[in-house]
This record gives sequence, structure tokens and C-alpha cells, in this order.
Amino acid sequence: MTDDALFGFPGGLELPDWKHWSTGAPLRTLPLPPELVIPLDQPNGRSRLLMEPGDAVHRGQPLAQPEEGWAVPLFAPSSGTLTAVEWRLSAHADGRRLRCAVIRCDGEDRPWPGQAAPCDEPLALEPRDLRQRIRAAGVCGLGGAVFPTAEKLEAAAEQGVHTLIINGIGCEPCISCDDRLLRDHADAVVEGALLLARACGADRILLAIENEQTEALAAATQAAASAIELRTVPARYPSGGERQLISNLLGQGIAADGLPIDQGLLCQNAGTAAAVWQSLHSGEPLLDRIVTLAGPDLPQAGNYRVRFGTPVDWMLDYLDVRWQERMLIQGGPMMGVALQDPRCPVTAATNCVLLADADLLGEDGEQRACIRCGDCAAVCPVRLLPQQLHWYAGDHDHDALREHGLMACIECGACAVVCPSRIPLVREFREAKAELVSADLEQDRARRARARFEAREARLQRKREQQEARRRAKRDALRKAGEETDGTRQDPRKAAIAAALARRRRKQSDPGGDGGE
Amino acid sequence: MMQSAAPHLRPRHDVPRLMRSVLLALIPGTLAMVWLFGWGVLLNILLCGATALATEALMLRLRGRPIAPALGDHSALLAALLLALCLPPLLPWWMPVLGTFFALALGKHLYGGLGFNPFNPAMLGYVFLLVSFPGSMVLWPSPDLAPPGLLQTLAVGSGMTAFDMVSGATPLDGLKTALAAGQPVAAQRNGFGPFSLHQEPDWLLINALFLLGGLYLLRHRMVAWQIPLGVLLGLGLPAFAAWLIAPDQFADPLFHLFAGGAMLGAFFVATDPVSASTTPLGRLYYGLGIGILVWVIRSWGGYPEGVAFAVLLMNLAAPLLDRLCRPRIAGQG
Repeated sequence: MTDDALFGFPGGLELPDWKHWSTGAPLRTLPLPPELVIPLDQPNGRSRLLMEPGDAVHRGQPLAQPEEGWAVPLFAPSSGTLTAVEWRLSAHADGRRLRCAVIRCDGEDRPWPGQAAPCDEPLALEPRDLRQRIRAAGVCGLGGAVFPTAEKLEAAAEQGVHTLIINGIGCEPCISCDDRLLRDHADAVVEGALLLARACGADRILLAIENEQTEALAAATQAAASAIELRTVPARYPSGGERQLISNLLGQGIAADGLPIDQGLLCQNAGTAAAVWQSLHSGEPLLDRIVTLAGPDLPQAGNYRVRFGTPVDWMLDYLDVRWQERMLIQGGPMMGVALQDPRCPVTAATNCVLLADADLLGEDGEQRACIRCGDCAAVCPVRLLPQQLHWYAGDHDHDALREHGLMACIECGACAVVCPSRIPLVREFREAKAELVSADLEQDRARRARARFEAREARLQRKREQQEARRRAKRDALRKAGEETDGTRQDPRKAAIAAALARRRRKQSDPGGDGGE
Repeated sequence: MMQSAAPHLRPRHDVPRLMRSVLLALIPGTLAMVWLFGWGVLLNILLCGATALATEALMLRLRGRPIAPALGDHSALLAALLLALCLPPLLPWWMPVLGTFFALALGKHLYGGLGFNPFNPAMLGYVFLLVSFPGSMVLWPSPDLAPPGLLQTLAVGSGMTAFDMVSGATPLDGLKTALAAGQPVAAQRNGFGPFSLHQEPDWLLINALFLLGGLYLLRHRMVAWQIPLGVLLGLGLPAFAAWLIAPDQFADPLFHLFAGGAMLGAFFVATDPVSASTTPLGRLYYGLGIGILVWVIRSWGGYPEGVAFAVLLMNLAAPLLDRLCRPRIAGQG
């Protein structure tokens, strides 16, 4: 293990850990629920269903394929019957409804006969084949953003990256799925990291772990191949954020509108690495993920391997968790989404189900006016001035918001958590961002409309000029013709003679004479 | 089921707690002032405090705002205490009342209440009184005499007797008068020895205790460290340079740092976040500006003490400083 100095990142704050609730017990596997719900609309794109309601499905059978945006192919997580395609409430802050495929499980979990053959030596595959297999397996980022892994790898291979960073840091309190994964299956993470590095062409691999995850670190140290450098990072929120981690490990800043790939870096979550290895090794697509069940005084807290589509309420009921009086959060207390419907299914984004209450999170206090104490700016990992953004957001001052870097805000919530006036800063910024985006769209539309208008005007003008020119040419020709006819009205022959005479006259006399006319 | 938007975690501290901590940190210096200058200090605090609460409630009511939450944030009490600590201890009762009313009604609520005032309300109230009643506002009890008793204080406070028998000059006053009379600094009564070890002990103690309170606030990160550091440097460095060059005409830096309202100003007045600069670098410049202005006013101005003017002037500069000192956004050029 190398112990290079860290570069740190701006701001950040110490938060309660709350990981110990769920790290004690080893990874367990949740059984199959009677019904699986698979959202066809994905966070970054949409997919098209390949079957009809009533069709029988097998485990791992293609269910939907990408149609729009950045989507991954979806697969039936278990065998049974596709019963319906319905609109269901999703794990979205705005309570959006999504189109979902509903599968009634037959409990037999029969595998699809058409699935890819297991690959014993995936590292021997060509990078292109690796990427193709990862794409076909529907692997996406399991850290929360759910971006298709193959797309990232393609871009990385195309632009050329030198370093792959595997993020094993639980990004916020409560979430311990990566910690537990490293403790129990560090080898899968390491193998997956090697595969990812081969797939994107990186020759250096860093595996970042929080310094308090001592057992995960021990397991990773044991499993790590010589090609992998282990790095420990102090627990300081949001140390697991992609840009913060890069800043911390390499001292490099990534511009808000840039990507790590621009600097030859690729970040992948530890869970994603393990999923890559698993899907290649078994030939099965990505059908499940590790979900942390967290909450204070919760004996069932722990990490569970859960099939995609498992409704959260079924999971909690199965584990005999009394959740009705608590608040359900998908994700952590900082960036998680409050579940509006407990029947929301587990998806690739469900890293944690947190049962929270006011005792844990703190009481709702009275919101007061900003006193510009600057505590928010002190913890902002992007070095923004939330207290100023708050003013400008209230004024809808788009220019000032842009100038103060609103779009660079990563919505980590650090500012809101330290605000003594309890101003919902993140909510304000999210709304202001949406406002800026729609203002941009509006402006863009106006610009295009103006360009269109101007183009039309120019075209009409051109047309008018052309017409005018044509008319003038015609007129000139007519006049010329008229004048010529005037001179030779009687007879073309006489006219020819007259012209010849005129030529001779012109030759004889000075060239300035009017003989030509 | 409870609902909320991320982050779900709630802040652990709040504005009332912040204000309470600042009030707490003011206690040692305040007690010293009561002990050294007598009941008048306490009377001022009571008058200012009561007026502040009444004014706050009245203004909130006139503005149609809920009264209880704003009264509960203790910001009015803090402004009142800061103003009271700046006032000479023997004043007719209506002066502290008028000053506090001006500070809160005009200096705070007419701008929109807590968070919206461009000027430090306490300093606005103080300057209002100083400009309106310059005669009364520079009379401090002589340190050579025992502090006036309760009855005497009440007699002056109620306006029954004028305050004449015990008036003296603060060290800053004395310095100014003596320098104006052509006496060198070293020849003065209190013997401003090298680094002022023999400085007027009263003011030394008061300033030391306010410094202590300020350090407590810094330790608990209740105030931005850049501001007091800036004030102390801005006051200390020019004073040091001038004293090195012309020790006869300029008091030494330690005298300046422990005289008048230096520590109270640096840690409690200048650090009012609402009216101060809010960017890290801007705060340093803001503090430096206050410190330099205090030294300039003390050295050449018409008033012996300059904290209030310096703070108000820098309040004006805070928005500009914030524009100029915006931190570089992470990851951008």
C-alpha cells in the first residue's frame, strides 16, 4: 500500500458516521419477492420494452433495450410472467411517475437459455470485446449516478485515459454497501478493476478507501494485485464525490463543465467494478445490487444483495422492519431521496434504504433570514459562496448566479446542513438551476428564431435583389433592343449596311465620336 | 410518513444559539466595566436592553411580522449590549433609550430586519448619539476616583443632577489632548512605557477580558477569524511603524490594541456578519480597513476613539470587497 500525501479538497465537513449500524453483519441475499417492478425510464435515458404483457420471462432475458439518451439494456431479474406495463411512483424527489414493467415471479428463478457463456479468462479478452460485453450485460454505475459503464469506457478508450480510480468510499453517512462489498468480496472488486482498466486502456489503478474502513482496507490489501495502488482518504464529507476524490488523490481540479476523462482519468465505483467482474465471469447480466439497510436501533440493519425490481416495502416487511412511522430515504441523509411511495422498487441507484426520524436527523427549525455568517462557504467543496447565491437566487438575478458559479454546485448539501438560519439552500439552488437552464433554452430558442427570421429576411432581400437585377437586365435588354430597332427600323439588311458604314466611319474619325450610336 | 428534500440532516446550531454564545462571551468584559465604572454601566445595559426588546416588538408589529421568533433570536439584545458597552456610564436615561431606538428602528428594521441591515445597528446608534450629544458622550468617570455609587448613578440617570464632579478623560482622550498641547507621549501621566506595561490598568483589563471572550468565540468558530485578525493587524502594524519612527508623537501598538474599544470592536462589533464582508479574503481586508481607520482616526481625527466610524465606513465597503474577493471556484482556471 502506498501512502502518498493527499492533496485535500476545499471545504467539506465532518458528519456522524452511522456506518457501524450496517457493517457488522456479512452480506446476505434477500429472497425473491412475488412481484418485480422494473422502471423502463432510467435516470439518464429511456428504454423500449421488447415484450408484450403476458409473455413468459426467464432470469437474465432481455426485457428492454436502450431507446433514448444514456440507457442500459434491462433484463428480467427472475423468471415468471410479464403481467403489465404501468405508471408507478418512483424514487424521485419530485415524485415523478415512471413506466414500469411488472413481472410476477414464478419463484423458480430459471435462467434464460440464450444468455452469454461464462468467461473464465475475461482478462484475456480484447478491450473492445470487453466493452461490448459490459454493454451487453447492462452494467451501469452503482455509486448513484447510474450512468452506463460501457459508454464511459468507450469515451475513455477513445480519448485515452491513463488512470482508473476505483471509488470505495461510502459517499455519505449510513451507506456501507461498498465497505461491506470490499470486506466480503475484495477480490471481485480487484478483478473488476483490472478488467475496467483493460477495457479503457488505463495503466494505473487507484483504489480509494476511507481511513476508518480498516477491515475493508485489510481485505483490499490482501486481494489487491500489484497493479493496484490503495489509497486511504480521511472521512470528510463529501470525500467520496468524484471531483473531490480526484482533487484529493491527484491534486487536479475538474472544471464544472468538464469531465475527468478530459484529464485522462476515469472514476468507477467499487460496486461497479465488482458487477463487471461478476457479469463477465458468470455470463449473466446485471440483475441485482447490494443495498444497505440503515437506521438507528434497527437490528436488521445490514447489507443485502437485492434483485432489481424488489419493492422496498416488501423488503422491509420481509425483514420484519417496522417502517410505517419512519421516514424512508433512498440513499443517505445528505443527498438521498425521500421515498414518497414505499412500494418503489430497488434499482441500480438504490445504494441504501435509510429509516430515519426526527431524533436522527434533527428537528425542523424555524427558517430565518440569512445573516451572512459564511459557514456555508466554509464547507462548500466547490468553493462557491452559497450566502451570495441565496441572495441572487431570491432576486432571480441570472447573470450574478452564473457569475457566481451556480451551475458548478454539486448539491452535496453541506451548506444547508451548517446553515444556522436553516435556509433550504440546496432546494433554492436546484430551483435556480432549473430556472437558468430554462432561461438558456428560452434564449436559445429566441436566438434560433431570430436567426431564422434574419435568414428569411436575407433570403427575401436576396430574392428581391435578384428579381430587381433580372428586371433591370430585361429592361436594359429591351431598351437596347428598342434603340437598336429604332436605328434599323426598315430592314435588317439596311441596318447591317448602316452598321458597317458606321464602323468604317468610326475607324476613320476619332474613337470618341458618336458613330457607334 | 415524514417528507423532506435533501439534505435530510438538519443543522445542529442556529442563530439564537449563535447570538447567545456571543452574549456569553461578552460577560467577562462587561463585568469588569461594571466593576470599574460603577452602576452606570449596568443601568445603560438595562435601559438599552429593555428599549431594544420594546423597539423590536413594536417594529415587527408595525411590519406585520411574527414577533416571538425574532425576539427569540437575541440579536436585538446583542445590539443593545454592544451599544450600552460603548456608552459613558453616566448619561441621562433618555440617551441610551433614544440611541437604542434609533439603532433598531432605523438601523435595522427600516432596512428589513435582521440580515438586511447594511450598517452595524449598535454603531449606528452610538454614532447617532455621539454626533447629537458630543458633550455628554465623551464624559467618562475619572479612573482616579471611586466609581459613582448607585444613588448618584440613579440621580444622573434620571436627569435630576448633572454629571460634573467625577468626569475625567479616557487614556485615548488624554493622549489626544496631551499631544495637541505639545507634550510628548512619554511625558504623560500614565506613563506609556515601552509596550505600555503601565498603561491605564482599567482599560487594559477591560480589553484583555474582551480579548478572552473573543478567543472563546474563535475557538468555537462563532466568528470569522479573518475579521478580528485583520482589525488587530490593521491597528497594530501602522501604530508599530509610526511608533518606531516617531515615538514622541505616536502611542505604541500595545497601547492602541488595549485602549478604548479595540478588542470589543475587533471581536464583537466588526464581526457582526450581516454588515461585514462575507468572503474569506474580503473579511481580512474588511478587518484591516477597520483597524487602519481606527488608528488614523485616533491619530488625526476629531474624536478620540474611531471604532464606530471605522466599522460604519467599512460596512459601506463590504459589498465591493465581496465582489472583488470572490474565491476561485474549484476546478476552474
